[in-house]
Amino acid sequence: MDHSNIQHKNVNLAQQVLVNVDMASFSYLTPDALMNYCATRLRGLDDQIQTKFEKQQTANHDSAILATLQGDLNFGHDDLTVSGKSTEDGTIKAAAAKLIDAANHVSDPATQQALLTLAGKLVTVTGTPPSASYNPNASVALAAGTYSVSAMSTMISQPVAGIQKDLNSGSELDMIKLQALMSQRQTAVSTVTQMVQALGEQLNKIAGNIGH
Amino acid sequence: MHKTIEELQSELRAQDEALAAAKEQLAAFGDIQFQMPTELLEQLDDACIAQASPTIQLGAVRA
Repeated sequence: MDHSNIQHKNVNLAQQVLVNVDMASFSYLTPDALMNYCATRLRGLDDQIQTKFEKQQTANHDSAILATLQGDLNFGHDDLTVSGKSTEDGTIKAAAAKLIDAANHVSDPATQQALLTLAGKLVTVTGTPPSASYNPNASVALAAGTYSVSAMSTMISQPVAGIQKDLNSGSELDMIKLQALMSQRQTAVSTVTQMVQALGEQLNKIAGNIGH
Repeated sequence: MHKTIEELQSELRAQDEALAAAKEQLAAFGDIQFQMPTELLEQLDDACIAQASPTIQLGAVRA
């Protein structure tokens, strides 16, 4: 009996990604067709897993930048006097520079914007990441006056910590989803190896029956 | 407790190795047609489809 047409049909069927294929048509498949079928099924999972991995790596990168920023932001231990003169207010400008630098280096757009918004409270920000900047020779945007350490913390330091917290929360959720996807993939891979074992057993049975 | 990204990437590599081994075994079977264990095909569908990309749809209309 000529099986070549049946094999060809089965390979084509298994290679279709499209829907609505009658499962009964898959009663007989060649190993190649089975592998194509499995690869097609796994592709959807793999795409999602890859996206999640990339997102996690981005989040880790941004989180490290924010941690450094939190450590670097320094408004001193005493009340801060803002003069509003273009040649003064170095502390404010330094903090703004750090915020803008962080915004220029993180990858997440929401985090970029949040950092620039904070920097905008201190100086006039121009441009967008990765080329956002400010004019160090201009007056600061922060109104002249005296600001307590607590006031600067509320205005800048605590919101930076909040941005970090939001990033970490999102990252935690993504990790849970990623682990769930990995678990699904493991089930799929185990199923494939079970299929191959089942096929091997079929072959052995056939071989065992030959000559009897 | 979450696994780290590195641990998950290591898992992914192990899974890929298992798949590669299965593929090698399958290649050794040649062009012989096999009767597929339907329940395993369905199990594979369930494992992959539950959260699959919307562009990949169910591969079978259940009879």
